[in-house]
Amino acid sequence: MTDSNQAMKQSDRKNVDLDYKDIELLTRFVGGQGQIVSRRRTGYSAQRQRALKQAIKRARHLGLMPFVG
Amino acid sequence: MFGAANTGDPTTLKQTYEGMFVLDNDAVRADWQAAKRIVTDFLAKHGAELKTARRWDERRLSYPIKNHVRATFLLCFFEQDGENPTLLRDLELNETVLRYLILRTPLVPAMEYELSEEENKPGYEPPPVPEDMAPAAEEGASAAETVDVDLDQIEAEVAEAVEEIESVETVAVAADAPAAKAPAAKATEAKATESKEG
Repeated sequence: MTDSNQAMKQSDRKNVDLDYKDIELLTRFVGGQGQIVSRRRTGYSAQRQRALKQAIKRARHLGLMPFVG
Repeated sequence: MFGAANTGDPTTLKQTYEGMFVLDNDAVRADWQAAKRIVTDFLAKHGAELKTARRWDERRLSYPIKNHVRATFLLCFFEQDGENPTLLRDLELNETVLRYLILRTPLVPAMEYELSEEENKPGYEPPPVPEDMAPAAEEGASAAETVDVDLDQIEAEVAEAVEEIESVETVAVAADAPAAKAPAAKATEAKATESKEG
């Protein structure tokens, strides 16, 4: 996750739309076991991190992303 | 007022919603338009004004939902007067709709209109839906086989281990018996000599 995330520019990361349908993007923000990456690693503000959490949870609900693994 | 900012009309409570519906691939394989109509008819029945409806994707699910490994996703945008619990109840009861997600959204993306129009053209045919196996048949069968094999192996290993332990115990008892007798005999001999001397 860190490599792809670090490759993304800071401005791009701030402007990117966190949508539950964008699975390719969201998978960058989950760990190996499917856990949501912490704010310390994403570098997101509280609002952005909350939006990220919401998007991942919505994707999980629809079976687009795994809860575990 | 709730929803007023969305439509610009303060006299209405109309709100735009985005709905993602996970549809059973069996129904989609039989007839895509009929499967789509199940959802759109529900929306119409409960007073929603459908803006767009299109096939978003067909993909493998990250985990089985109602014993389905793959599913087709239908993305709809519609307007409605607030949340409608009877619509949700109908969706819950319908077996073609495996799961759904309805969210409030500020507006319908312009691209959605184009994509939806393309799909509604007469000649449109969705990509073929690949065959999928039920998770019970796909994963359960292999798991059941491995469990059987494992049980047999475990039983055989346990039987071998028990036999080994028993054989080791009998050897140990046989070896300990004279060794145990020997010190006892020595002790009695020593006592006897002591009593004689005394």
